[in-house]
Order: sequence, then structure tokens, then C-alpha cells
Amino acid sequence: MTTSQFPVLLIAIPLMLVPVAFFVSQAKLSVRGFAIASLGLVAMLAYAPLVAALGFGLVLPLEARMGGWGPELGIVLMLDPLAALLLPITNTIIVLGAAIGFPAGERTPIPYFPLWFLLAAGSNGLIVTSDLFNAYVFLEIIAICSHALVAYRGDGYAFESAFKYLIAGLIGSAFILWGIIALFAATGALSLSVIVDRLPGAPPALVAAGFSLIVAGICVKLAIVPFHSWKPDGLTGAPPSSAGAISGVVLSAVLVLMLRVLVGLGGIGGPAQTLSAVSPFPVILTFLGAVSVVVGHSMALVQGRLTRMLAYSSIGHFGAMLLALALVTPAATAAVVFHGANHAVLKSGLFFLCAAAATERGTDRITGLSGYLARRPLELAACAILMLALVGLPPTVGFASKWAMIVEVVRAGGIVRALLIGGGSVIAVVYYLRALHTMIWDGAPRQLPDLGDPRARVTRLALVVGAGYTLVGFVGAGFIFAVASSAVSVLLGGPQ
Amino acid sequence: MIGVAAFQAVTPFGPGLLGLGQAAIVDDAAVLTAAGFLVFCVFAALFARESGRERTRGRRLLFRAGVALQLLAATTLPFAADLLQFFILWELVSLGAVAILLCESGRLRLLRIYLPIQIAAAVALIVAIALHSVAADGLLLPASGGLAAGQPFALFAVLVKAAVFPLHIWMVQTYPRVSPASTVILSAFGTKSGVFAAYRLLPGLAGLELFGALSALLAVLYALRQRQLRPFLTFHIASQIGYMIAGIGGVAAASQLAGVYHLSNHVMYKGLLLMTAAVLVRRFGTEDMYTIRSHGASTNGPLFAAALIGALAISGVPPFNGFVSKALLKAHAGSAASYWLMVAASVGTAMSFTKFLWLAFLGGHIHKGVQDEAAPPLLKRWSGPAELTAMGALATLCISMTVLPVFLFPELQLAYPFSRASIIAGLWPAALGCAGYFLFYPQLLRVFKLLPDGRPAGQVSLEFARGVIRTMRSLHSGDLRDSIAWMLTGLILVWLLTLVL
Amino acid sequence: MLAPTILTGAIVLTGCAFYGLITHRHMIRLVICLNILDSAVLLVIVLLGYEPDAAAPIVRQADLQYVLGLPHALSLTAIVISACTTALMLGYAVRVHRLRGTVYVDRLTRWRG
Repeated sequence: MTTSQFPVLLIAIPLMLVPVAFFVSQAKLSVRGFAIASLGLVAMLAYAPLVAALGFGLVLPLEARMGGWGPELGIVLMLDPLAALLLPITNTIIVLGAAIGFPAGERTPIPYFPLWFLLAAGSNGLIVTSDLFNAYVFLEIIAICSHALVAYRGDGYAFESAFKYLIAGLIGSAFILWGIIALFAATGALSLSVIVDRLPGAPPALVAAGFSLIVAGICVKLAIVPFHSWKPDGLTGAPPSSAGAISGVVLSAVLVLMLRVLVGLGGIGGPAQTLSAVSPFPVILTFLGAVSVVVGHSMALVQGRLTRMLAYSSIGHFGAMLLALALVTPAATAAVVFHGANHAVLKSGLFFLCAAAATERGTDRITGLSGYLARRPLELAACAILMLALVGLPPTVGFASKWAMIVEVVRAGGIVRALLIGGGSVIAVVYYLRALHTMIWDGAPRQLPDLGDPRARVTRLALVVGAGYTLVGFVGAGFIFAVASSAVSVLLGGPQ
Repeated sequence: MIGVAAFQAVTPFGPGLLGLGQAAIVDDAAVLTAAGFLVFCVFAALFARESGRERTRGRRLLFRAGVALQLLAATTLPFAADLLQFFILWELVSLGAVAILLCESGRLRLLRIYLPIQIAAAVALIVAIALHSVAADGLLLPASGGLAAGQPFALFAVLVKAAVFPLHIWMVQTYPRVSPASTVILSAFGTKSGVFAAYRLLPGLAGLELFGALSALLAVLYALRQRQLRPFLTFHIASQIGYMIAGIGGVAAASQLAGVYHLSNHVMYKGLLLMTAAVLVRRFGTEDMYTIRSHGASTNGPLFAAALIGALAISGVPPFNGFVSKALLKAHAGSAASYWLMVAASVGTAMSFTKFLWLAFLGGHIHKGVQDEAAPPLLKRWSGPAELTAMGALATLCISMTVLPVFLFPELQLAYPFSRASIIAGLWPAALGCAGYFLFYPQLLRVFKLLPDGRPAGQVSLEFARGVIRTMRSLHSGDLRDSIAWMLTGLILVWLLTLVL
Repeated sequence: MLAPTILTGAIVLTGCAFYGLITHRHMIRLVICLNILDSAVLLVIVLLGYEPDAAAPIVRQADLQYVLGLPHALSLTAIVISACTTALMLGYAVRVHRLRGTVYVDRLTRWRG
């Protein structure tokens, strides 16, 4: 363990840039170049720990104590391998999303770039914090700016989406806050490292209540059935670039929180064994995950809008992750981390493509996008690769992670779960192929892309990045899986 | 055993009849069944008197002869120990039914369905009897343990005669198509003789319990999509027979006896329900619950009381006889699967009788997707005094028969079926079904409508998947309050699971 | 005596809030219900630091017994967050009313299915 104040930078820099970006945009200066450059700088910072750990022998986790207070009373930020793996991904998505979604030439009722800085600060904070109340605060920061990102374009339907998303998000936060308070009442601490020591002596009823509330709240945030209805409704009205950021960044950050609470604290009874050996949460998560897989994929099958289809498909993916997570073996958990990271990249890549298509065609209905990909070989290739990866077919990183999940699930004895995950993929083949077919062959291709629009160029860049990760990740799957495994072993408090 | 002695002293149709003599089997089950048939027949005949006035004289005589023949045969059959006599009585029950069917207007069509089925069952039974007589070297039936050989044939005969779920189609095609009073009579004897034959010939047959429980549930699913009164009640006969078969298929003797006890309970409450249906059909001139409802439904207080008691009894709500026998059946269930199948069937039963009461009596609103029917003119009077007496007597029996387990199951404590746990176990499926009707019936109906009825399996499963997805879509209503309610439901589920596990 | 009373009050408030969230369709009322929900949590947070006859956590003399200060800090943070989200929700409600002409959530079913 290394002590360093580095994690603070990941939160403080974007947070300080929020007012700067606000004033720059109010002063009617060209905010765009400045903002993208600054977000890029933050993203480079986010790559630093992973690069340093892999190339220069930096020993993770990095621990930063705020104000010099210890974990008993103060806030401790912990940059462990899990955070080091996910931070580059989320920050890259933020840069690309901010560049793609920028409303060129139109005035927005909500200042645009400050929201992305806030999103960067909040998601980085949630990923690195190891203090529960601090996590709640970051959760709310993420929530507020992502709600605003849903609504920034300012038509009535976007505000409908934003309001639904906001109310659901606040109820989820309330569940989580109740759970945190229950754990605080049981253990007298908010820092995860202290709670894990004190849990064995805590009153079990209070601990169980706390965990169940946190699980319910996280299920709201991850859109697990039956807590999910904000997600399709909230993302359909949103600009697809914001929807990509929510699917990629927000859900990954919440996934980290879930792993820290459920695996790190032993809520699902993993090898940490801090709770009783027989914990109810594997059963609950299995149940929720199975329902999510079924509902998510079957609802995706009948959607007419691309964003809505992608939103439902995410529900199915997170259901599959819960199914694997509920097996509480370290290898299955590592596969979940791997798949979570992949899902963030792939889903936001598709949302960014959807953003470009919807901007050109003025709709995100699949029938309205017919022939969009016909004369665009780069977009077509990227889209096909991303969809293949989301279905889980080789040669993509999505295949690697889904395969890892299924293998680990079968190894742990969950044949039925493996069948559910596989069945979800089979349904996914149908709806992705149908969308792809419509977007390539149906209808006559209309106008070619306007290369003068900088957003189209950024979209192509994003697609190249996403597809590149998908293909390169397939080759280096063993390497990413090793990082995920070390993340899980650190999470479980074991040796690296 | 007190009952046996009393019955032998009182009844004219005791084991002495038809030369049964020394070969009679006199046990609790036989006495219970015969007594149930006898008592029911008295009130059913009383009920049939009023509508019988509309028949011609010849038909009235034929009808009475049919009823008398069925009563005679059905009350003697339980005591028969000689298999040949058993077979003859079994046939006489069918013959009585044929006589009753001959009084009806569409008799040729009815008999074309009824006769071949009964003949097939009879042939199967005689083959089974022949095989048994070879194996056991004689025609006597052992007092317990059932047939020694030929079980598959006997099983087929019994399942057909008793109209157990997949073989129930003949019953659905005949019983609702006769005059209402005849339905009341027919529903009691024919199928129940088949059930009693299962008790005599195939007690504790391996797999029968699970099969019975499954057919109870499946028949309820079919019943739930009916809107015509008597087809609806007929599907429920099939479902309740599933319960009896499940009990008789149990290994424990108490479980088999509980099946027979459920039989005699069922005769009472199903008779009561069919009587109310008969009055409703006569009054409104239609079988359709939605049409009855669009008339403003039934406002007749005594009729409502009778239907309510019948519905509560069949749904297994305490303190009615259906509750006690279902509690006994569940208590003796041999496997968790059959227990939960029975519970699920109870939920469905409660749901469909909620619908019955809600539409036909309370005039509640109809779910979306169903148009109000144009109201035809009201036809006739409400129930007459004899009919009311009959219904009142059966309703009284539905309550008073709850004491019978004290005599039937001497090893049980007096308070057993009324312990707190079993009352809760009886109440919650009923409450769930009742709430389910008001919350989910339109969605569920879409699923029930996809149940196979002769269409190709591929098409049915595709339609099933479509129906499920359509249901899911309609649940995603886009209303924020619905999504909040789902979140709270989820939270409560998580809590409950945390508490339970 | 104080603690059970406040805890009961918080639970009752939570129940009221959820009841309101499910039954009301006016956006502003939903916002009020969420505020009630927050107040319930705040009550419990403050209660966690409470000790009978203890002084406020400002150090004056060493041997004095103080209430726990941490929950107070938490509740302040939660109040700030609650105020922010309330402002955001009210802003959305105003926008939705202006653009869609309704404040009833059951009319906002453009996104469904």
C-alpha cells in the first residue's frame, strides 16, 4: 500500500474546472476547445495509475487520507486495481461523450460543459472513495449532473425523461442513505475498512437491514428489474451521447460501489466471511438477476427505438452480472469486473453511433435509420464489431468476458444460470441482427456525412477507439482478466 | 365406525342390496361417499322438482328413473368388493346418466360424445378386472391395496370416468349443454364414482399424487379464461377432481381418506354453486357472466349468500368444508412439488371465484378490452321455495361437514384443521387470488388465452412468448407512480427474502 | 423515551412519503413527498449522535460529555443535497409544465412499453 494524495487530483481538478467552464461559457468565449482539452487532461491523469502500476512497479492501492484524519473519523480515498482498471474507461467515455453531444450553434437552457466536469468529478470520486457517506455524496453529484445531461437539449420529452430519471434516482439514493445509516448505527463507522473489522460484533438485524437497503438502492441505480423502469424511459428522451455516458460511466461507478459493499464487506458472503456464512444476498441477487436477464432481453426484442433497445439490453447485461456475482467465487467476481468494464465501452460506443445517426436523421427509430450504414464502411465495421461483442461472439472482447462468466458460472455449479446468460445472448443476436440489417440494407441511403461537422469526426474517433478496444482486448483478454482478478483479490483483502 | 353402524341401520341402499352380502367392504370411505351421495341427491331432487314441471310427462319419468338409477348405483358402488359387481354398478351409474341425457333437447349430439367415452372406459376397466382376476385368482377386491394387476388399464378407465384434467374434455362438452337442473344431478355421481374407483382400485399409485396436483392447477388455468357460467364451473370440477386424485395418490392412508373426504365435500359445494348458476341462467337467459353483469347483476340476497358460501368453500377459506379437506390434503402431501401445485391451484380457484362473485353478483366493473354486452330482456323469476330450501340445506352442510374429520381421522386432534398455521395456510392463497384478480386479471387473461386447445405447439409457444412480452410491455406503462410502486415492491421483496433466509 | 419517539416518527414519515409517492400524480406533490422522505432520514441521522444530557460538540472543557458531532456534519451535507435536488426537480416541473402543458405524471407517458 502506498500513501499518496494523487487520487484527490482526479476529483479536485474537474471540480475546480466546473466554475471555470461555467464562466467561460457565460462570457460567450469558445468553451469547446478548452473544455475538451481539460477533460482530456483529466483522462490522462486517470490512465496514470494503471500505466504506473503495470509499467513502473507502482504498488496499488494508493491511499489518500483527507486532512490527515484516519479512517475512523475522516475520509479515505483508495485507488485500488479495480479503480485503476475502470477509471481510464470512464474518463475516456466522458471526453468523447462531451465532444459528441456538444450542441453546435444552439443555445441550451442548461450550461453544457460544466455538467461533464461535474460528472467526471463525481464518477472518479465514487470509484476511488472508500467512505460510505462520501460515496452517497458522489452518487448524488453524479445523479444531479446526469439528470441535467438528459435534459440539456430542453424539449418537453427530454424533461419528461429527466423527471422520471430524477425521481427514481432520488428514491434509490434514499434507499442507499437509509442503508448507510443503518450500517453506521450498527458499527459506528462509515469507512469500509473500519466497518469490515467491526461487522462481526455488530447487531445482525441492523446489519441485514442495512445491506438489504443498500442492495435495493444499488439495484435502482443499476436498473435491475423490478427497479428498472427509469432506465428505458430516462434514456429514450435523452440525447444519445448522454445516454452513452450514463450507461458507460454512471453504471460502472455504481457497479464499483456494489462490488465494494457486497464483495468487499462480505455482504454476499464471499471469502471475507464477515457476515454469517449463510447470507441471504446470493439468493436475492440470483432472483433479481434472473428476472432482469429475461425481462431486459425480451423487452429489447420488441423496441422500435435504438436507444430504448440498448437501454433494455443493458438491463439484461447487468442481470447476467448479478447472476455471476451471486456465486461468490473470486473467479466469477473477476469475470463480472471484466464484463462490467467491457459493457461500459461497448454500450457507450453504440450509443455514440446512435447519437450521430439520430443527429443526421432526426430520429432514433430503427426504421428511421434504415440505410444509414450503407455508405459508411467505417461506421458499419465498428457497429458490427460492437454488436458482435455485446452479443458475445468472437473475435471480440465481449466474447472473452461472457465466456469467462459462463465458464466460471458452470465451474461453480450454476448450470441454470449459464443457460439463462446464454439464452439472453441468443435473444440479443436476434434484435441486434435485425437492427443491423435495417440500418444496412433497408431503404435507400440518403445524404452522405457532412465531414465539416466536427461532431461526426469525433464520433468516428470514438467508434475507432471502441472497436479497437474490442479487437485488441480479445487478444489481450488474459491480461485484462488478470488485472480484474487482482482487483477482486484486493477487494477481498487478500494478497495481490 | 359409529357412522358405519348408523348408516347400516338407516339406509335402504346398504350393503345388503344387490346380493353383495358378505363380500361387501364397509369402511369409512365407503360410508362417507354413499352418505354424501344420498344426502346430496335428496336436495338435488328437491331442486330439480321446480324446473321439472316444464318437461313433458314422459321425459319427467325418464328423468326420475335416471336419477334413481344413478343414486342407487352410486350409493352401492362404494361397498362392492366383488369386481364384477363393481363393474356392473359402474355401468349403471353411466346408464343413469344416459337416461338423464335422453331427456335433453340435444340428446343425440350429447350421447355421441358421452357414450363412446364411457364405453372406452368400461372396456379398459373390464380388461383390468380380467388381468386382476388372473393374477389374484378370483374376482374379490382386497380390502386395501387395490388391484394386483392391470393397473394401466384401470388407470385409463378411472382417469376417463373421473374426467381428470387432460381427459376431461367429454365432461366440458356435455355437462354445460344440458338443462341447469340436470347439470346439478350429473355433476355429482358420474365423475365421483370414477374418483371413488381410483380409491378402491389404485390407492397410492406411484406418480398419481403429482399428476393430480398438476391437473388441478392446469384445469384452474383453463377455468380462469371462461366467461360462461357452467363451462367455468365444469372446469372447476376437473380441477377439484385433481385435488382428490392427488390425495388418493398419496402413500399415507390418511391422505387417501382425505381425498375421499374432499370428494363428498365437493359434491356439496359444487352442487350449491351449480344450483346458483342454474337460477342465474334461468333468470337472465344467458350463461355469460359479462352479460349478467351488464344487467346490473343479481340483486337476490339469498342467492348471493348461497354463491358466497359455495365460493368460499371451493376456495378453501375457513370455516367451510373445502378448507378442512384441502388443509388435510396439503398436510399429507407427499412432496413439496405437489404441495405447492395445490397451493397454486388454490390461488387460481380463489381468483376465478372472485371473478364469478364480482361480475355476477356485485356488478363490478369489467377490465379493459371487454365490451359491455347489450342487455337482453330479463326472463323469469328468481328461485322458488323448494330451490331455496335445497340451497339452504347444502349451504348448511358446507359448514357442518367440517366436523367430520373428528370421526374420520381419530388420530388427529379435534382442533387440528383449525390451528393457526393451517388457517393462515388456507387464507393467504385465497387472499392472493382475490387480490390477483383485481390487480392482474387482464394481463393474466392474455396468457391463459394462449393455453393449448388443439393448435400446433410451435404456434402456441410463439403466441405464448408474444403474450408474455405484451404483458411485460403493458406493465411498463410509463406512469411514474407505477414505477415507484414497482420499486417499493422490489424493496419489500428484498426485505422479505432477507427475513426469510 | 426521546429516541423511540423520534424513530417511530421517522418511520411514520417514511410511510407517508411512500404513500404519497404512489398515490399522487401532481409533480410538485411528488417533490414534497421526496422532501418528507429526506426529512425522515435526517431525523434518524441526528438521533444517532444524540446522548441524553450531553453538550453540543464544541470543546469547552475536557471532562464534559458531548454528543457525537459526526452525524450532525452528515445531516448538514444531506440537507444541502436535498436542497439541490429539490431545486432541480422544481426546475424540471416548471419546464415540463411550460413545454407539455401538464403537471400530472400520468400524462407524461410518451416513453412507455
